[in-house]
Amino acid sequence: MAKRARLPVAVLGAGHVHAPGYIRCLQAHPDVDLVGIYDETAATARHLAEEAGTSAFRSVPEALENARAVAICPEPTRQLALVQAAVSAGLPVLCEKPFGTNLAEATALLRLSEKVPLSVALPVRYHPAAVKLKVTVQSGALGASAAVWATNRNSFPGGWFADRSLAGGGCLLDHLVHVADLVRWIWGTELVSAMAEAGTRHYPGLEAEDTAAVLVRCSNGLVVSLDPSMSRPRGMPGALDLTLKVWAERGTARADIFPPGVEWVDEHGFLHQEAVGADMDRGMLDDWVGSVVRDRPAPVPARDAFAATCLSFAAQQSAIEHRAVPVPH
Amino acid sequence: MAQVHLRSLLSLAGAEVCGLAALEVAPALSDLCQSQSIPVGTGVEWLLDACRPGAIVVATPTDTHAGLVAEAARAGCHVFCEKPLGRTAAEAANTLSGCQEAGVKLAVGHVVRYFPAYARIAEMVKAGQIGPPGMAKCRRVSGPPGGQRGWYRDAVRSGGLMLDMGVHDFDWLRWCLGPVERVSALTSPANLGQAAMVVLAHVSGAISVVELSWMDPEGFATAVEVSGPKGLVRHDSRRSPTYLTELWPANEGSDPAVRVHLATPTDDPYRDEVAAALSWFGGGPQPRSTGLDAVAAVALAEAAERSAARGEPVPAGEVAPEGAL
Repeated sequence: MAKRARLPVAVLGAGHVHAPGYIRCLQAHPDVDLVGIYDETAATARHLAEEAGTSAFRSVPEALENARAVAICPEPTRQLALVQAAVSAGLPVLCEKPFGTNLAEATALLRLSEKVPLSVALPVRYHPAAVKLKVTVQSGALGASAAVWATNRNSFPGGWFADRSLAGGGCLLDHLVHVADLVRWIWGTELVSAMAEAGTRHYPGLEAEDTAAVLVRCSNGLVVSLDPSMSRPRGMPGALDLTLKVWAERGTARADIFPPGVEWVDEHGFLHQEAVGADMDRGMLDDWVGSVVRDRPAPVPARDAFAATCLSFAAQQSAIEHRAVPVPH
Repeated sequence: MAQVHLRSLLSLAGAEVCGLAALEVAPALSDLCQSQSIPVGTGVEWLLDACRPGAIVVATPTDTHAGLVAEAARAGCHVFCEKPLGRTAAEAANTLSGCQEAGVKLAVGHVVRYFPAYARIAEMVKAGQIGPPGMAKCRRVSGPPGGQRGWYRDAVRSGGLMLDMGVHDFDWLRWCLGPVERVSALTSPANLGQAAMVVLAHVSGAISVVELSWMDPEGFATAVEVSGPKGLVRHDSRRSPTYLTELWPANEGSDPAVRVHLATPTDDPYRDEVAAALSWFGGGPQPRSTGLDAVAAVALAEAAERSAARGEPVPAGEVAPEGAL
């Protein structure tokens, strides 16, 4: 059987919790040759490479030399340096969120995206419920939208999330960007200002906020509430959620990105839930690989990720200063 | 609410209904009074002079609460006043101090404290079952409000969504998570119906979110969740097995029905709250919410309105009178 020329892809930085999922999708992709994995923590690279049946690179240059595109998925504070290296090598990039851990980093990433095709890992755009909501809103079936109540909560993931020098922040940095992006993408509106409160009562000793509540004003008049808290007990069924409840002139709509799926109760009476269907990671990676192979623009543009991530910076400042803070542009 | 409270009173041993005053009596209410031989009149003066009650229940539009409670207090009557206690925090505080000066007891219908799921969750939280609570979320939705002559829709009379609906959750959250330091709120554009969201920063460091809507085609529903380091507790009226009571509108075509979800058919929080007030009037223990709680709940709604108008967080102390944070 004739082997098609496949795109050599390296994973550059794999410390983020999303890396194993992306590696699985890349490895299974018919048009991708997963040439290897680099991580600053050599054991991480070795372990993931072994699991995926690929090589572990020992240096950034080694990874860049062997690849024609890179997926960058490290702990947040390690991201910028790796993107800089990939851009210097002129390679197309898929970049994990958040898009920088502060405004200076985000701005630097945005500048870098002018030099190579740079797409950002915002996979929720590829979930059928999000797509359906976008189509419904844009069709006018709901009339004008008045308000959105959103959640994007989880349990405290542990690991590097507890290390400020790697995580770069708390739940305001980690869990605003998906909903922020959806709001901009679905309604075609800008995020104008944020009022936020941040709490630290769930995980005493954590150097960052574990809970927060954010109120967002948009340029089209839409108002949004967003709960990014790590407030779900560990092991809770459905701990990770992402929901949008839309109130509009002609009715309401609700998108649930992680619905209960199949629920089961074990012999001790504990409830468990398993997701079924829609693999949004695969949808996102298919689109990114396709854009690289066919030399098309980045499917999730850096300027969108920048605008969405800037909500985190405004919310962080608001939570400290107790005032409404304009979202940087 | 008049009909609900009248039915509760009629079901309680130890209470006798000596009269009902209303500017306009709905046919169902009129029939009920006739069948129970309850005299019906128009003014509060008539009620206080002719019927000589020991206590009165005020179930009128919000902007009339202060005046009616003051008259009852002057006549030496204990008062059960439907929530909210007043249109503004200052008005509610005046009403409370008026009752205190007159030496009468004032109970306010913060019925959510008597809804079984809400009462149980508050009990679990206070017992430390989830550890120190860090985050709470309350949602309260319904269709566009009704009410005789549509007074709910008139924010000047009812205080609108934030006061009329929000006051329930503000009160319950204060009860459960303690005093509030700061209030942030947003409201939807006025021409698109009404939805609102409020964030409360509690003195303890806990955060509460209250989300309110008068735009729900499915009608009335509530949900609540509180989480802490040791777990979370939650209740959703739409997800739980519920018993549904539907109260038909007083006048055909005027208002949508009020629908009440209950955990079991025997629960009647509306009767329980009135029973608790009557017991207190008779020398029993104080009900779950005090007059000061009722003032604080109105103050939080007012702070939320102010924050939404100003676009900035508002310190609760800016609105709440001393001792009612």
